[in-house]
Amino acid sequence: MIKILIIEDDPLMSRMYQKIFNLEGYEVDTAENGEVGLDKIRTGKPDMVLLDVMMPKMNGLEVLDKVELDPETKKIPIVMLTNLAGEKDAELALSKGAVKYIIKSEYEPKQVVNMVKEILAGYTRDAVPPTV
Amino acid sequence: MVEIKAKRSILHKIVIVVLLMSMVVFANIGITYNLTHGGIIEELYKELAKSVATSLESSINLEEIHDEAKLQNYINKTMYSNYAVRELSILIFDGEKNDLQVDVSSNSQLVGSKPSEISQTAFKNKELKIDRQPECIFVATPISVNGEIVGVYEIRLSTVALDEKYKKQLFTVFAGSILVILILTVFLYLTAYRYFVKPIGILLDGAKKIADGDFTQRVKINSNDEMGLLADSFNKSADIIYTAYRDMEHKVEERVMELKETLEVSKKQNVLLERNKVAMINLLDDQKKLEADLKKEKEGIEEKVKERTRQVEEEKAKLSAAIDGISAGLMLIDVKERILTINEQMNQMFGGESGIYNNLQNILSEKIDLKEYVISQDAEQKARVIDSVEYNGKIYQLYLSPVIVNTVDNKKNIGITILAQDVTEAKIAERSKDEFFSIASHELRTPLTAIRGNTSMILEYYADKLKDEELKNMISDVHDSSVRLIEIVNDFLNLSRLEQGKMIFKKEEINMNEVVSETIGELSIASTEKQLKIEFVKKDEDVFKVAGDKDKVKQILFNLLGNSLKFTDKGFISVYMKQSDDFVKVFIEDTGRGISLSQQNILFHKFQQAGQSLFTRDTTGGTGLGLYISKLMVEGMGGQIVLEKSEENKGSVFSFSLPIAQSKKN
Repeated sequence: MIKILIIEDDPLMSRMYQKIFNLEGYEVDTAENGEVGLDKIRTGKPDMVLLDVMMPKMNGLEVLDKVELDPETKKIPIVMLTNLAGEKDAELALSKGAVKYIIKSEYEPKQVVNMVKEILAGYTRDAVPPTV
Repeated sequence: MVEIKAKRSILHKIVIVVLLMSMVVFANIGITYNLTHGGIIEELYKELAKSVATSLESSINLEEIHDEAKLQNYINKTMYSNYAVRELSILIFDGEKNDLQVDVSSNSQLVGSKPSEISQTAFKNKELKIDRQPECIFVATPISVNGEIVGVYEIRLSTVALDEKYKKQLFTVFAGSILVILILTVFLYLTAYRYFVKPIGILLDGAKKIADGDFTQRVKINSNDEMGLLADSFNKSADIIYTAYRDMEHKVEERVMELKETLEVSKKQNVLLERNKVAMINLLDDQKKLEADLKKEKEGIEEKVKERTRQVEEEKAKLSAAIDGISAGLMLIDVKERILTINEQMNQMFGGESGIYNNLQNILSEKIDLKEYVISQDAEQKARVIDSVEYNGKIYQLYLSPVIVNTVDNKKNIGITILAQDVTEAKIAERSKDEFFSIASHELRTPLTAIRGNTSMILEYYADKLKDEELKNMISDVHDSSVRLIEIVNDFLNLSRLEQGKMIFKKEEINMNEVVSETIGELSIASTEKQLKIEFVKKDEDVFKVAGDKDKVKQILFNLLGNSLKFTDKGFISVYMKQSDDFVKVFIEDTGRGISLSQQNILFHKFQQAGQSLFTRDTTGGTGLGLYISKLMVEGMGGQIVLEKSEENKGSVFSFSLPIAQSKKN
């Protein structure tokens, strides 16, 4: 089963995305801030990380920097999932190594799942659950 | 002025006369000299003597020269034929002994006398000798026989008769000359009289009459020489004098009349003055009363002055209180750089050791030459706003404006006012606006996303549990509302950025075929829902590449296609592109309800949907900012957005243009 880690400080968002990915047949873990998230990336080795930007303790961009610096975690695809709509934020994240920058409000949860599926297809073709 | 023509006729006449006289005098002198100093007469005498000698030689054979009778005969003949010869003696000498051999003479008294000296000299020198004596001339001629001088004959000619004859002639010539001179003198006198004396007399006469007051006097001289001109000038002068005299006389008359009138007025005034005098005396009587009144009035004025001073002080106090009371710094400075007024706030803002004016000059040096602005007396000087002046950790905005005084005839700049406002707070607020917007939108969007996401999951994954259709619809409405709210938040955020010029437009090469296809793809859910097909009409070989910002172009397409979807219920929606010289034009055509003429005018304006039709708006929703935002975005990329055509209930065609990518163009 594909393991998704959602690093998100807002429980509303966290719960919602946990739900949809569960419903779509993924194994989901969550972290409520950047620090915990980084720990879980290192220990849990998820197949994919959904990373918020604005978070207490350590923000998403800092987490991204650390993940990309660590060769152990570098290969894990990171998708930024945020409501910061600034173009500069997106560019910055992509330049740091994020594979996609998704603005939450623009998409239905199902659409987010579909995008994640497409990305994973490029990484672990055999393990991706079929699109519903 | 009379122009005097330089006719020198008088001078010519005088010169001719003088020349003639001179010639006569010189001729006389010449002739008289010649006659008296005898060149000519003496020669005549000599020629006479020679001819006598010659005739003797021709008439008497030299062999007979000693024949006294024949010689006597010759002498007699000669004396008879030649009246000039008074005496003739022939003396023959013996050449060797020099003895007188023959001696014949017309005058018997002369015979036997010793031969004269010249005869002897002539004989000795063998040449002719002449001796001039008073009343007589002696000619001694050698007599040559066969080349031998045998004697001399001496002819004595009396010159008395001839002298008398010549003297007579001389007198005649001299007398004639005198006569000619006399005649010429008379002629000269007459000429002078006619040309000088008479005209001068006439002129003098005229001038005298004019001097005596007869200004009508004119002179008449019929000649075209200087005198004629002088007369003309005289007449013209007389005319002028006469005219002037007449004018003057006229003026004098006028003055006399005026004086008479003045005199009349004076008389009347005298009468009035007399009356005034009486009145004055009466007035003087009132003076004392008046003085008393004046004293009272003076006291009143003093009161008024006190009152006015108090009022002025009050105004001043009010004014300085007002100036001190405002939160802005205020300063008045004149063109000589003297500070006239300054409030405490100004001192607190820019005060310093070097004085507030110097301090301000330094602070503003990068933005304005304050000194130049202050000392300029240019009445047309414009007010200036100097923004973002940072000093002592604060940000100020300064207003400089000239103090213009309008006088009757000109305008003058007498100084400037400087108003300084602390805008630190406003600037900080402005600087954080961008940040504020992104945070605000973030905070708004997160709960909205939760509503949207959860409702959509309920509808999709828990449909079996939503048996109640009404409940299902309500959840659907909640979902749609959240979507619409998210759109509104996005519109506001975009608009704010666009209007502040904070939206960045990338300039990358975009393949429009791809962008259109992608956008249509992303709208597939919405179009499927409405059972409409968005068609991309293009030929396979057409590749349109533009320079712009891909995300923005997509957003514009979303807006336009979204509108078409919103307003079209049946028919089709199509997208097609055309390329002109420098632009690619994208057309979005639909068979929707169309736009009324009145609404066409407010299209592309801010809040157009909410504007005029606020109370009659349809249920399509939206902020009405979509087209306005699209317009700003298209223009931000150097293109244009227009409504190509629209007909109610038939459909609309929108288009937007974008500049062609440079690489493609080249």
